[in-house]
Amino acid sequence: MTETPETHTSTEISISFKESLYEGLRQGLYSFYTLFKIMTPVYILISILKEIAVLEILAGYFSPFMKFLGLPGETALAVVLGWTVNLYAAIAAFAGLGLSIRQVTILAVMLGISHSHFMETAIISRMKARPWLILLIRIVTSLFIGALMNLILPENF
Amino acid sequence: MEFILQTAFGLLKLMALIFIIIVPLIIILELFRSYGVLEKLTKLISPLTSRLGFEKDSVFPLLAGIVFGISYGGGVLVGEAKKGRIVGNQAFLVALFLALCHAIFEDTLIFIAQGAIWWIVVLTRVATAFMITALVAIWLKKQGHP
Repeated sequence: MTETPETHTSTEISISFKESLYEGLRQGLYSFYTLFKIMTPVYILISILKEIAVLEILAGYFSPFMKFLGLPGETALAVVLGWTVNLYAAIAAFAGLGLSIRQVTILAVMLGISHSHFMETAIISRMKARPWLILLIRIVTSLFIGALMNLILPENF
Repeated sequence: MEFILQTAFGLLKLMALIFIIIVPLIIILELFRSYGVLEKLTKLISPLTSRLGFEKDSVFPLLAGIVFGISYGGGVLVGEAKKGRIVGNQAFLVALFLALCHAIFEDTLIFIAQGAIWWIVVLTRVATAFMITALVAIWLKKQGHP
């Protein structure tokens, strides 16, 4: 491999602006493509489950737990997908449910604290930072904050 | 037929929202990265962060993770730790904070698009990360870890 010597001139700075703009666009489009591949099947699957009334049955099982978080039983699937896959899968799972602002805000905080655990626990273990303890803290904190927000936030806004 | 149309329309709307958030955001973050915006910010807020008990060399990985996401922040953290600049529990505490609070722009924006109230989301998440990290730091000190 040959290395090209680096020179710092004013023209190079303007090229680097264009280059990073282009690089950002490339990364952005690629990310969108990967998100599209995850979100589309999730959104379609949830829509079908809702249409054939299976979502209702599943929601029935989960609603006793979800009500502590101020969330309908249907959102249990979104939480599970958020924990295991990522936030985008979670969003695709609740986007069609017609949730209230309060419910989306609670979900945003809970899932923000605790998500993508397979991937992120692997990243944290590379940091040599007690990944299992951090995983436990994230899940417990998220459930605690969700319940706390449900107690504090006014019912209608 | 109505079901298919409704689902297709809902999906199109969802993906359009994601597109107009993600593509510009990633371009802006890439520009931040190539112009070293966070390096400058680290210096600017260092009086505040040192008062909060963060060592100087852990502030940059912390900011990098909060803004760019956990894989980027984690990478910076591992690099700094290898150089011996972040020692002992500092690395664990940075990792813990980042696990609770990272990619704050991306995560918040995609939920705002679904109706979440941004300031509640940001404040609650940042405050929670601060409190949990502080509690664990106090606990570690009591255990006698430096």
